[in-house]
Amino acid sequence: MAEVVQHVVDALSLGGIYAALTLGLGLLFSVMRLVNFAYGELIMAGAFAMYLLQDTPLLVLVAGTLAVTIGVALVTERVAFRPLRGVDPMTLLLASFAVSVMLQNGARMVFGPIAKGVAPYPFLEQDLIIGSVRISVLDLTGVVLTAALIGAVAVMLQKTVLGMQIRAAAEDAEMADLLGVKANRVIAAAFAIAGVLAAVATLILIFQQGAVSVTVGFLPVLIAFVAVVVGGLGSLPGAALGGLLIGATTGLLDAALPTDLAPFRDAFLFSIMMALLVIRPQGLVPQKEARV
Amino acid sequence: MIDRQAAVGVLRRYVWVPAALIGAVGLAWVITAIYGDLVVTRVVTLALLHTVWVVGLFAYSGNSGMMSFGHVSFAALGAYATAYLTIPAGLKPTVFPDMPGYLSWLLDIQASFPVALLVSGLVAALFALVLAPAIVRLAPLQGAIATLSLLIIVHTVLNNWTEVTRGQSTMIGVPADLGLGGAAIGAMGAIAIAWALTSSGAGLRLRASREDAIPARAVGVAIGRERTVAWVTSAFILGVGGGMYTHFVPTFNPDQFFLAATFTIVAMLIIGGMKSLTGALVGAATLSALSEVLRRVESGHIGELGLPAGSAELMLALFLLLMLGFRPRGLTGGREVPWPGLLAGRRGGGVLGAPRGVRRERRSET
Amino acid sequence: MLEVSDIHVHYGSVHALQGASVRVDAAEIVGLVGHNGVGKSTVLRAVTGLVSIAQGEIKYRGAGFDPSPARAIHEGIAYVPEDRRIFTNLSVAENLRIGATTLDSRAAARKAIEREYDRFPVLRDMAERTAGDLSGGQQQMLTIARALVAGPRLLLLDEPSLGLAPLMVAELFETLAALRHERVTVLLVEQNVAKTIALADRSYVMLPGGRVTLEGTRAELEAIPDFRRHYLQVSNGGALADG
Repeated sequence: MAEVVQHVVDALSLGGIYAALTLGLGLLFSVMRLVNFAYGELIMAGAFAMYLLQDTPLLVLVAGTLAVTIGVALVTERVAFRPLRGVDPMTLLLASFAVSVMLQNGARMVFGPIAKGVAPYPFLEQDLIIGSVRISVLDLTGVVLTAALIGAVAVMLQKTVLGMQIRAAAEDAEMADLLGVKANRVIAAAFAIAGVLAAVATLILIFQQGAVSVTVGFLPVLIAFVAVVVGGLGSLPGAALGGLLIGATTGLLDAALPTDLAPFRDAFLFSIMMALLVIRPQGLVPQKEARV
Repeated sequence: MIDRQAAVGVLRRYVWVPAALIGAVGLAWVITAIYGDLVVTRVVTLALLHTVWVVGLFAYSGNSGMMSFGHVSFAALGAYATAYLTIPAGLKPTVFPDMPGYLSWLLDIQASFPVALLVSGLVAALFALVLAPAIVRLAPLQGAIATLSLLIIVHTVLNNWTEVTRGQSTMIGVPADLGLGGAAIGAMGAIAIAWALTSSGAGLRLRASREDAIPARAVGVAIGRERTVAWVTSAFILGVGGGMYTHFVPTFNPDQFFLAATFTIVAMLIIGGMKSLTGALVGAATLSALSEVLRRVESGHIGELGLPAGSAELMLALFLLLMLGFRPRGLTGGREVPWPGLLAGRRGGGVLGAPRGVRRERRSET
Repeated sequence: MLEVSDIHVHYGSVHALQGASVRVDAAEIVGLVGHNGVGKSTVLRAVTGLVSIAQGEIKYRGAGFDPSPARAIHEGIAYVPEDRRIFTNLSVAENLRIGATTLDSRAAARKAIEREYDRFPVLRDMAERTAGDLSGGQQQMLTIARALVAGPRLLLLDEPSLGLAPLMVAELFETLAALRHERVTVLLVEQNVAKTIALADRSYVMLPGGRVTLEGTRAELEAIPDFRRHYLQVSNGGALADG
């Protein structure tokens, strides 16, 4: 019983991480039809920030990671993606692929190709003991933090003027333009929010795995890619849902796979996701084709 | 009496492009054989191998408009298939000491290199056929993401099934007997197959549907069938290409069929021009030359400065980005080799570009 | 207020507008009619910068105008597109609030939205409803209200009567007529020729070939031989109804 609870918390923690990541990805798609390969490099940037700040107080590390991730997000928006606004989604995907490779190589030049360790923080290493159940503080923090963050994003979208503009632009960017909504501001805001989501996910993820490398963002962003399609490309609730589902599945696979099959977890995960795409190609929350 | 006009027409529509491209490969082969030193020969051979891969990618992505990020996994399958078939029988137990019992037949099979290549192509094609239902009915964006899944799945399995594939360890025992000539012949064959597909009924129908604004819902059955043909054919080409690769770079491992290789062939196709077979070749040639130059600069052979590792790939990625921004249809603009004697304005090969003019409704740019 | 001179627009290889010219003076209601596909909407899209002009010139309020959607709305040009394009995922109230984006203050926005609720009381009743749930006629009201919230100087309407029941069409034209009192300049593109030329101070008629060929008041146009036969019967299905 205790093990089950632990596995559930594990799964929820991963679910939360990927819900946040996928939501960020989905947000970028909503406002400019961009499926952003370089989102993985936001994770990488945050991870390296954590590596560099690992001996500082936790609050400093968190603030620094947030700042770096949001910074990289805004810079890529301004430099790489703003000139490409209005271009079709496939070209944007390919462009983001190029940006991703550029950023990865840039990081390789600075940090080298070898993975580096990130020392854990004692506070996060502890376990909460309730009866016979041990829950890692990190996992719990992850669940609470990501849930709160996603909730905050949802509130922002529904209750603020900016959120309303984002939702309008997501449905019909051209009409929003015609009504005076400032595309630059909406898209930059979306990138910043996506940066925050990526930063929080990165913090939990890196503390969990304890190491950073130039390719640290590749697999998570790929998982988020498939999750956003599974959830329904163009739907923000769908993105969060897809991320949660896929993240939880990852956790369940971790728990359920026998040791000799454990290295193949990603093969199983992506096979499941491909199967989901066959069953329901339009995603869990299908969106009618919205205008760019 | 043969109608001369009709004959010329047929020549122009069906024969000129592949003939010109195969001729170009032949020319490169001859020139390199005569004038090339060891290093240049190696570079050109590698470029020809990449040409096979990119032509294979074009066969699917160029015709259907659906970019695939997973095609190198077909090359991977072909590579391992060829390895199983061409590593000398005596060596195999040493190479695969832990091969499980139910797969021990892998240790017994043996074939000549050409046969092995054929088998590799068929293995990849079969794998593609099985996967086709998952991929071909998706819209372009979802399809591209699904092919990424394919890449991960194949890489994970190859990388971790150590008893069967040697996992991360490099392969040993594959004879390194692919030379310039073999690579050139392979490239020519790939061009022929890709062209046959492109100018077939299926290819024409695919290209016609490519320009339509396909909604982000699943597409109908008819398109699915045509795409499957292209998908399977291109997998065959890459399977053969992967097998060829192993006899040139015999010390390979799964990482050679992962992200870097994917970036290489995608960049080559896009920069050359995704919508034409000529584009595949132009892209392969251009990027091979460019990356060789950059690699020499990086290691300090040109000029005095050495650049940090990774700059070559970074520059190539920048090149790709600039292409996408300024000339998304690539160096060839999606056009085939022009029929000589025709003035500008005529597009050869029947490969159409997307209509332009409406500033904000930019449809499929690449 | 608006002067479109001899503009050419291309859609790929199609030469959609081949020298179209239209003039709209302040406080006028001007109609632009013609059959389907003749290029009327393209004129509006050119003025708002949704399509690029290959040749020709646009002048707005006396000065040369380089069209773009952002510039258009900030200069007081509001566009009501064909197929309405309301934000179906937003509420009615939110749609109107987006319309108020260019206003300076929240107070001004509230006043403007109230004004539109007065004009279209139905919208006030449905303020919190999701816009996608509205009927066709209600959506048409919403899209016009949304455009008017910004207090535009020039209102461009693209076939607002399309798909509306006759009763709603009559209401629509009444609403447009009332805009005269508010001194909103209107350029109305329509297929409903009879009602349009009846409402408008002046109308232009566009023929295939993307050029404006006829111009005049209702009386002037109807005086042209065969005009009634070609335009009033064909587009109204036989009825020579008055506007």
